[in-house]
Amino acid sequence: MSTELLRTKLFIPRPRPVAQRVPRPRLVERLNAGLGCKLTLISAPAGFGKTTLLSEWISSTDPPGRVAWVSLDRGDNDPTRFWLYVIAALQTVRPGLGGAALAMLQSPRPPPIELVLTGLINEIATARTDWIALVLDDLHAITNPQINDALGFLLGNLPPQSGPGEQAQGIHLIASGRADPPWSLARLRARGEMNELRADDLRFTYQEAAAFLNDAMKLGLSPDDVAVLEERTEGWVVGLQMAALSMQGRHDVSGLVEAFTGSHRFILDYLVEEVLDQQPPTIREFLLKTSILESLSGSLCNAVADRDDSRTVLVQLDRANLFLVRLDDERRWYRYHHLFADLLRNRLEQALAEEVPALHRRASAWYEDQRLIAKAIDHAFATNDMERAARLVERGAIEAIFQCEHSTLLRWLETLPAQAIHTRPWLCVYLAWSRYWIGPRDQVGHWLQAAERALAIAPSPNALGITKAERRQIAGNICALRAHQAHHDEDLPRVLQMAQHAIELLPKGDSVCGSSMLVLGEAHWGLGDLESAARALSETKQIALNVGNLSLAVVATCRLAHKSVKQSRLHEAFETCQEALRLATHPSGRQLFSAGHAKVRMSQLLYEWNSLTKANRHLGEGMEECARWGPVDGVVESHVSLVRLQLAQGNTRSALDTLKQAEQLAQGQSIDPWISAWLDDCRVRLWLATGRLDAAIQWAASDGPRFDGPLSYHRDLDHVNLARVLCAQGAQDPSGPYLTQALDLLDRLLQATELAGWTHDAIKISVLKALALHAHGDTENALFTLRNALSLAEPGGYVRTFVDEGAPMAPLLSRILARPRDLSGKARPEGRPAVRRNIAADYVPNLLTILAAETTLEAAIPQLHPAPLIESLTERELEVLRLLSTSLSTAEIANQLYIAVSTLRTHTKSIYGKLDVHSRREATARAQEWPLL
Amino acid sequence: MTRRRAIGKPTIYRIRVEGRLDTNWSDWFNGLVIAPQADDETVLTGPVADQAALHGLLAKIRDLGLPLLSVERIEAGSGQSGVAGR
Repeated sequence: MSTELLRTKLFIPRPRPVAQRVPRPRLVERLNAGLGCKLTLISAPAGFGKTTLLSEWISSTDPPGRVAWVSLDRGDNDPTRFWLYVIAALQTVRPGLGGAALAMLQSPRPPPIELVLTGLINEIATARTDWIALVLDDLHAITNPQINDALGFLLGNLPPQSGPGEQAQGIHLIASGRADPPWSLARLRARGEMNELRADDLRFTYQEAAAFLNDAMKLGLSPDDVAVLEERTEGWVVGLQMAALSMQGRHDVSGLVEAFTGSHRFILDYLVEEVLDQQPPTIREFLLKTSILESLSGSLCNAVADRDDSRTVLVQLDRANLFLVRLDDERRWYRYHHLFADLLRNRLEQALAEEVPALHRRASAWYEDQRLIAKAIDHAFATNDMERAARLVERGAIEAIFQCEHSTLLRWLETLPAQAIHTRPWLCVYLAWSRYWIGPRDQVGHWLQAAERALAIAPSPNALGITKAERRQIAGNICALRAHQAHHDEDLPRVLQMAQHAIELLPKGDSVCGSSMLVLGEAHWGLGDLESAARALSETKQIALNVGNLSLAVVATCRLAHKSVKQSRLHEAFETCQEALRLATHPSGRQLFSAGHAKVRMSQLLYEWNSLTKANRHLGEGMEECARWGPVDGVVESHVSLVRLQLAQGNTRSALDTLKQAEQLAQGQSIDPWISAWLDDCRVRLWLATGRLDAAIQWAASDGPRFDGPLSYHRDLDHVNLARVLCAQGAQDPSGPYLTQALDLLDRLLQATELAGWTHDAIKISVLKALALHAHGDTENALFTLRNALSLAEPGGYVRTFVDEGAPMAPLLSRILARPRDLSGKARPEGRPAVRRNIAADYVPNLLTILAAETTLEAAIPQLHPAPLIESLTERELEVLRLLSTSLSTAEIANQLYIAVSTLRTHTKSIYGKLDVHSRREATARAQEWPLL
Repeated sequence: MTRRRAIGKPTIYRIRVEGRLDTNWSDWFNGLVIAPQADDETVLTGPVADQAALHGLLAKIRDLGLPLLSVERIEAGSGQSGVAGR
């Protein structure tokens, strides 16, 4: 959409000079009074002066600049385009308003419009400044139910207006059109939330008719003649206007009035003839020929009417008040009054029918020259020149896809005859992308085959005007789509194959290449190949940055952070999230919607580290942004994070509520399987926490994987959830088969995750396995397994993974604390190699402290105090302490450490101080409490 | 059966509006036969492809500011209209 055209859509028509119009204070007053309502509805047929009234009212508002305006036409039935206009209009009165919504709407996978609008409503509500109004003029042109539903939603959720009339606050909607919009008007009426102006209100009264005919048009009619005209036109403004125009400059006005009333013809039909008869032939021809245009400029009219004085003619028509509406202040663009244009077009069909196709062809060519392809396409369709239309659609499609105007693109493609599409591979590819993005997806394959056939038909590389490079690009798009499609169908090997083909074929600077790289990374990931995934994701990020697709770059970066999580490198993950946040933040401080996503991920890491307050803050911010602008996946994910946080804070009630919200959000949406598995994880935990094992069992039985079923990397969490339920069943019924089943499943999972290097998952699975072994009575193996988990988890600083298991975790951790040497792996059950890593001495006690505080199980935990001071000891001091525990004398110790006895004394003094002890014996006793000496 | 037809197939409609419309509006109204009546009314009759087309016609009538008096569907074979009799 060119900015000039956009400006004409948002241009507020200026009222004519007072001398040329009839001021209508009674109606202006009603518009002012209506500001206290949510909605003003102006509903009347064409020609009742709706737009004129609004422009008079707007020019009277004080201070000016509070009214946003959108002139709608049938081409605006594309939801993306419609909301872009609305936000652009709002920004003319509140700069910056809805900036994030704008970014959201143009994202490749826009969220449900309700989410975008909720954010917008909140933004307006929190501003709490004086009222602003949004005028939707010619709203009857909007027939797309999606748009009308969303407008109904907007209206239903606008905050109630506070303050009467001009003292009102918030936003006021003014809908003006020829038909009532399909919203719940009765309810608005009943609640007094709607101000209504209808045909009866808008009709000219006798006084207004007199003022118009005699003051504005200076006809000097007698009161009787005025009365006759008013009666004959029933105060219909356009009728009076035409009557006046047909009488201008005539002598026998009364005779005309008589003739007019004598005719039984449809009055406008009659009047337009009279008006045209009044015009010189050249002007008449101009009016007829340019009536096919929705907007008029000098240059465009010159092209269409084949003349060179159009600009002058337009200025003349404007001056003569001949139903011309200005679309900008520079008098470059005009349009005819809609009803007048209809009448003119009918006359055109009568008088010059054979010329009409040529007129459209010239209009189409002019628009094509101006690169206004959408308009050029509409005129090509009007001439029925499908070859031309198809060629233009090929040109316009990329921009339509780029602007996410898929509905518009589909309308074009559906208007074209099948033959025109099937011979043009690009059109088939575009149609396939549109079907992929807005569905139905099962048609994607059909259009891809069509694209391939079209490519094959072309006899030589340069047939159909397709260059060799273009052929590669088309083939690349086909592969990219197949890869996306396979990704959606979870056919990972096929994703690998297709995405790799696509990447080979497409130029590196192509956005499609970037998104193919992303699905390639996802597929590697799903197949357990984290390193290849990371390579593809880094490349995705690079391509995205090169082509300026920031949101793709942020998505790839967040995914890279997740990869570090999988490898249990939580600190690295946190840094990567910070980088994503930086990428998502514009130097002006404005953030891409994906910033919310990065914040939610950071909150998850802070949660794992048990920094619950910080996690809460990050989640709060991230959640708000996700809910305002994010795709539904992110919104659900943020809710799930909140459930876990609320559970950790012991707030089961709120956790249940949040979970319910998350479920409602996810309902009927196709959300990422990974997120829905996480939702299940929350459900299972909540059921188990609230003693509803039956519900958990029912869930496990109803869907999802079986304990002995095949494993898959992209469904790993589903399996873990199942194991958790089996463990709980086993804890209740230890003699049943559940624990064995759980252990079998967990062992297989553990092997798979270790093979893939998914340490993060290995830790979580080991924790469950340790609990299952313990419940099964195999404490030795339980301790061994848990110890391995601890040594893997300690570098990442995992806390909640252990603590969230609650009371059953406490005795195991206590046993590990009580038998420090086992940590180095003295016992090696099952002959498996122990992990030779030392665990920082305060790690386990710290976990136990948190666990104790949360489960009030202090009694079960031995020797927790005087707590971990060990970190305050230096390496040297630890060495000294170790030797102090032996029977060596002071001199022997000093010897062994190659230090002077005095230096040794300094060390011992420092150690005694830090440990709060006063003798070697006391220090030795304290040292024994610690596992890691 | 009646229900199915109402949604999908062309049906003959008779639309009465107030005011005398010239017969040259026929093209504008997708070829409907325009018959001005004596009492300042006009009747538009003819086949209408489907419900969407009917609503399109009604919108055109609305946009010309012609008050709508009635819309009737004429059943084929009902003998009400020569056109519908085919």
